[in-house]
Order: sequence, then structure tokens, then C-alpha cells
Amino acid sequence: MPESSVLLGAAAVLAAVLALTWVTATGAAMGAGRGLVLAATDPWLETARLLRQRRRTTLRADVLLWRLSGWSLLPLAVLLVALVPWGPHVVVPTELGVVWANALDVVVWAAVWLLGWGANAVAGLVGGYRFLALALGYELPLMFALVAPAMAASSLDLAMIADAQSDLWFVVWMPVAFLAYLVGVLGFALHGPLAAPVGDEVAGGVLAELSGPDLLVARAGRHALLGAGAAVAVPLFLGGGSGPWLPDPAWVAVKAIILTALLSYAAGRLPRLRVPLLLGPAWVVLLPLVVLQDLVVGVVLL
Amino acid sequence: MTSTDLAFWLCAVLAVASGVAVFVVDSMARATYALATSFVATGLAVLLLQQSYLGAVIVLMMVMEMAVMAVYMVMFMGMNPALMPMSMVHSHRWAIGVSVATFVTLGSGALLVPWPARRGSPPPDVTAALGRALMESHMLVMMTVGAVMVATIVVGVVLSSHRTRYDRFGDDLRHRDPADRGAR
Amino acid sequence: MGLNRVLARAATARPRVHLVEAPGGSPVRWAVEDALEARGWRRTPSPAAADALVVAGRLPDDLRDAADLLWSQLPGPRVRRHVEALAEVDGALDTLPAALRERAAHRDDARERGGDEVSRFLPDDAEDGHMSPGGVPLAEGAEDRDGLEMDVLVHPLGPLLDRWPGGLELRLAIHGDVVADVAVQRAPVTAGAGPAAAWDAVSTTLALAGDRRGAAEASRLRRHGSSTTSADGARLRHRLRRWGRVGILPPAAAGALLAATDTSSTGVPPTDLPALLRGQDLSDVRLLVAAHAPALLLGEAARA
Repeated sequence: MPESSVLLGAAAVLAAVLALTWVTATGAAMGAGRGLVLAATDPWLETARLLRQRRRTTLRADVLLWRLSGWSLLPLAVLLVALVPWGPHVVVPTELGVVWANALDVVVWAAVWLLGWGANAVAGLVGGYRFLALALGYELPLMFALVAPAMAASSLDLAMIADAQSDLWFVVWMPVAFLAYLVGVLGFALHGPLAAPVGDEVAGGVLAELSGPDLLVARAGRHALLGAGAAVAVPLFLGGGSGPWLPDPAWVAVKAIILTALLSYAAGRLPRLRVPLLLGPAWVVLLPLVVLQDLVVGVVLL
Repeated sequence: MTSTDLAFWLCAVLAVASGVAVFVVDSMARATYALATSFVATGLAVLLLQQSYLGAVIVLMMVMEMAVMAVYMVMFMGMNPALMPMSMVHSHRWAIGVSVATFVTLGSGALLVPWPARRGSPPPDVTAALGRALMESHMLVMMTVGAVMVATIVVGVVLSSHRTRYDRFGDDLRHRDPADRGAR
Repeated sequence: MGLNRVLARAATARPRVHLVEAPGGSPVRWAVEDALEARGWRRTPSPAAADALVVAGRLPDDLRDAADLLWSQLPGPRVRRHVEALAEVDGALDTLPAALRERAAHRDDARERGGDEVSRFLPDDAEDGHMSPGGVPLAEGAEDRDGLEMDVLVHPLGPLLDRWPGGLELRLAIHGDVVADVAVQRAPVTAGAGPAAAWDAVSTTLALAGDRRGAAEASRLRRHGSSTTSADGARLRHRLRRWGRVGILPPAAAGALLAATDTSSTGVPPTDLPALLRGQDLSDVRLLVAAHAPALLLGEAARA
């Protein structure tokens, strides 16, 4: 790939992550009841405020793991967005886009738990272990949900899955898989009903002991992950770049932003669910439904 | 030395170094994630063998497993997050002897066995070929083994659990507020 | 320099406030909450992310150390305000952004703090050693409710805490995040059991549970002194009832909130806090204490 198009692609990915982060932060704040103008200007003012704030540490924190994990949430979101095909172009060409997207969201497990552990404080530990419990609940439905579009398109390549939806988008006949995927996105983005690891009632959980630039990148990473998850849903369930009038890359951007806005707004409106409340339905209701969905897809393909 | 060779040696050194780090570092979390790094480096080396699916899945599964290991850390070992000198080794003379012997055996096997020459070329879609080889004739085994493994894990946890949902919610599973009160 | 000024103005336009209530300071806290809402400023549950520490109400002498400990957790640039009367609220908040912009004052503050602020809050015999990293002794082990040997942590909640009855200090012995034992170290002084306190309890509980819209609605009902027969109050109570049934709020918390906001009931039964909190996990402890705040004073008075 020529140098200039790699740079252009990287710049496009970074701009996309920035836009998605902003949309997520605004949507979540509006869902929680904040007005549009306040919600849209908050992220910029918060950025200025946190850049000016000093960093802090706790007694005997494991600084290496703590800082590494906090600063890795945003790069993970960037890598997820880099996997998304913008029509015919893709920044990271791979035949296994689905598997790599899944691998990246599993690395979030490590990042969030280490973020809680590294601070050597009660709030962080409680948040980190809550996250692991939730992750055990949402990850299997998420993985089974990723199987459905891959089966229907007979490929693990995100570009080919997007192309296979030229007559009918997968979201129409795989709604359960789409729902399980969105629950998974809320889970690894720590938003909405699955935001217990960063809950106010545990003083911010894994984010409790962070300040200044560390808090900024951790919060931005959290919002960016929701946007990135929504962006990956575009080729998986929403037809990729297909659509009238506009070129493919524009449609990918439009769909990603609309899905991010809707998802973050819904996440802002819903209360945080206590972890024991979620695990039962996740294993006993959601997982069998997603497996049934996969069965339906398999039968349709026969 | 091609770039593949360079990448291989980097992954190999990283895998061995982080494997050693597991026993040298001062905290359970660092030991766990040093092990995860070692596995990830191995997965990346598998990518160099053109087995992209296996490499990606190795990375995915190992990171998830290390995260779950953190849960077991709480159950079975002291979980002091602060960095404290701790010893990760038990009966280390025996262990060193056995591991050196195993390494020499496997390594000499890898170096001294006459490897066959390649016949033909790899199929165009390596992942599909791998899937077919694993699943086609062994589909029934794979399905059964997977289901049996999950059932075993679930049953093992249920059997070893002190309090089940009947203890918490009452015999007819009706009580809304789980009676989890108090220590034993 | 122009860019620095612009950035400083942007950074201090909407300060994040860590608001805590001193014993007996509920009316002042309500006024501060209303003032923050009117300005569009937000609160933060953790002092680590805050620009300003605002203590609502008159702080008794034995809580000065607690306030200093909270103050030491703010990273800086930081501002501290003690608001003791309703009339002082606007003045205290209006001067916040300008105070945050005084670079020289904050530079001096940063220099004076040094690296060793926390040591004065540790016990005198704390030494950095093998069995006590950083001077904090290692946790002891004990069996938890599942028979596993878990570390026991003595975790204090209060006396000055975000969304917490002023002055209540609990020492929780926790295994992981489950409370094994509760000791009430210091009794609270709450606002009693009137309708304002009841709707404030609803607002605090909903805010802790993540429903900011409901919390804002309950604050509005508290502000306007609306009776519970009004449609909004009934709607909110219906939501509380539904959430208590489903389990989004602990059923005991939902029950307490419904009892407190029920105008037709004769009174709120006193609460035995240790019995209520034993066996709950940390987030349920916060929700239960917030929901039972109107009943707490009665409980302590009944015991006295």
C-alpha cells in the first residue's frame, strides 16, 4: 500500500474515533437528562479541565500496570475502528476481521481489571472484579452473536460480510444476534446497564483513583470503545457501505454515528443494573436465544 | 535474515523472557500478565506460520484465560495488590531439572528429526481448509466434546458450591430478597 | 499566552464539585445542589477527579480531620469551600472558577503539599515493612459465607462522603465486596422525616443507582414541596415499586423509600442499620443507607 494512503487511512481512523467519542459522550449525557448544548460542550471543557489537572497516585500502586492499562483503552478502540472496511478501502486488511475484533474486545478484559487492580484501592478492586463477573456474562452471547453474520456470509472477513448484505441487511433477520452484540458492546464499553464497574455507588469504581490526563484517556477510551463497537456493527449487521446517493465510506460513517448516538442515548437513559441481576438472564435467557438464532441462520443457509 | 526471521526471533525472545518473568516478579497480577504476554508472543509467532486463524484465536483465548485466572487468584491465594516480595516457586530443584530435561528432549527432537519436504502448496483459504480438516470427519466428536466440557464445568461448580440458589431464594425460589445474611 | 488564557477559561467554566454534607447540613446541601444544577455544573463521586471540595453545613471539630483527609485527595488545582448558611451558597460558588484560575496560588499549594500528605492519617506505629507495605498492615484472613478464606478489610464509609447522611461513620468488615460486619462509629444528624427529606432520599438513591433523570425529578419534587398525590410523585413512586420488584433497587431500599414518601402513613419505623446491612455488597450498602436516611435519626434517637 503506498505511503500516502496509509497515512490518509490512519488520519481517517483517528478522526473517526474522535467523532465517535464525542457522539458517545454527548449521547450518554443527553440520555441522562442533560441538555443538548451542555452535553455537546461538556467533552471539550472536560478535556481542557483534565489536561490542566495534576496526576495523582495512591499508596503502593502498581504504577506500571495501572498506567499501561488506563492508557490502552483508547488504542484498543482505535484498532477496532481500523478493522472496519470503508467500502473498498480498509486500513488494516485482514481475512479474519471478526476474530481480531473479538480478540481486541477480550484485551479490554485485561485492561479494565488491571486498571482496577493497579490502584491498590478498594473502589478499584471492587470495580475490576465486578467487570470480570459481567464479562463472563456478556462475552459468550457476544461471541455467538458474531458467529451469525460470519455463517451467513461464509467468511470471517468484514468486507465480505458487508458485501453479502447487498439484498437484505443482517439486522433484519438476525435481530437477536444484533441485540446480543449491542449488549456486549455496552459491556466492554462500561456503559448503561452494564456500567457497574464504574458506578457512582462505588465512587467511580475502576476510575475512582484516576485524575488528570490518566482520567481523560480512560474516560475517552471508555466512550471510544462504545463508538468502535458500533462502528464494527456496521459491516456486521448494517450492510457496510451500501446505500443510495452517497459513496460507501460516507455511508459507513453515517451509519456508525447514528448507531453510536442511539446506543449511547439508550445507555444514558437506563439505570445501572446490579451485577447479580444481570448474570442470571445473560446465561439462562440471552445465551440460549443467541444459540437458537445461530440455528435459524444455519437452517436458512441449508 | 528476512523480516519473517526477525519477527520470529523477537516473538521467541519475548515469549521466553516473559515466561521467566512469571517467576521473578513481585506480584500476582504481574505474574499473570507476564504469562499472558508470553502466550500472546507465541500466538504472534503462529501467525508467522501463515496460520492466521490459529494465531488470532490463541491471542484471544489466552488473554481471556489470564483474566479468569485473576478470579481464581482471589479464591486461592493472598491477593495483595501492592508489590511485595513473594516466591512463586515450589520444590524448585526438581522443577528446574524436569523442565531443562523436557526442553532438551523437545528441542533436540525439533532439530534432529528429518522433516519431510513440502508436497504441493498450501490451499488458497487456509482457515477453511483447517476448519474442514478439523470438522469434516470429526464433527460429531467436536460437538459432543464441547457440550460435555461445558456440562462438566457447570456441574463441577454447582457440586462444589456451598450455597445454591435454593439456599438463597428459598425452596420454591420465590423469595425476592436473597437471604445471604451473615457469616456461616 | 492567549491560548493559555483560553484553555484556563475553558477548564474552569464548569468545575466538578465533590459535595459532602456535614451533620445537620441537609438544607444547605439542598441549596448547593440546586445552585449547581442551575449553573450546569456536575458533581463527582470521587475526590480524585474534583476541582472543588464543598462542605455543606457547619463542620464540628471532631470531623475536621476527615475534611482534611478528603482535601488531601484532591489533585489540584483545587479549591475548598465551607458553606454554612443558605445565604452563602451563591457567593461561594460564584467565586469558584476565578479561584481555580489563580495560578500562583495553586503553584504554592502544590509546592507546600509535598509527597507525604497521607502519612499523618496513618496510625503512628505504621512502618513500611515486609508485612506492611507502605505502612498499611496486610489484611487478615477469615472465612466468608461460602467457606472460602478471604481477606478481611476494615473499610470505613463516612463520616464525610458524597451522597451520604452527614456525620454517619460506618466501619465495615468486608470480604471482597460483601459486608460481614457493621459497626456504627458515629451517629448521623439527618434532616428528619419530612417530605423534603423523603424526596431527597429518593433523589440520592436514584442518583446512586444511575438514574439521573429520576433523581432530577425527585429533586424537583423536593424543591417545590409537592405533595405525593400529584401525578409526578405518583409516577415516581410507581417506578420505585416496579424497580424494587424487579431488583434494580434492593427491595428493602425501595420499600423504605415508598414508606417515607407515603403521606398517608403515620411514621417511618426506626432502622437497625447493622442488621440491615450485614450480608449486602458495597453498592447495596450505599443504596440502603441513602434510602433509609429519613429513618436513621429516629433509629439512633430510639436507641439513645
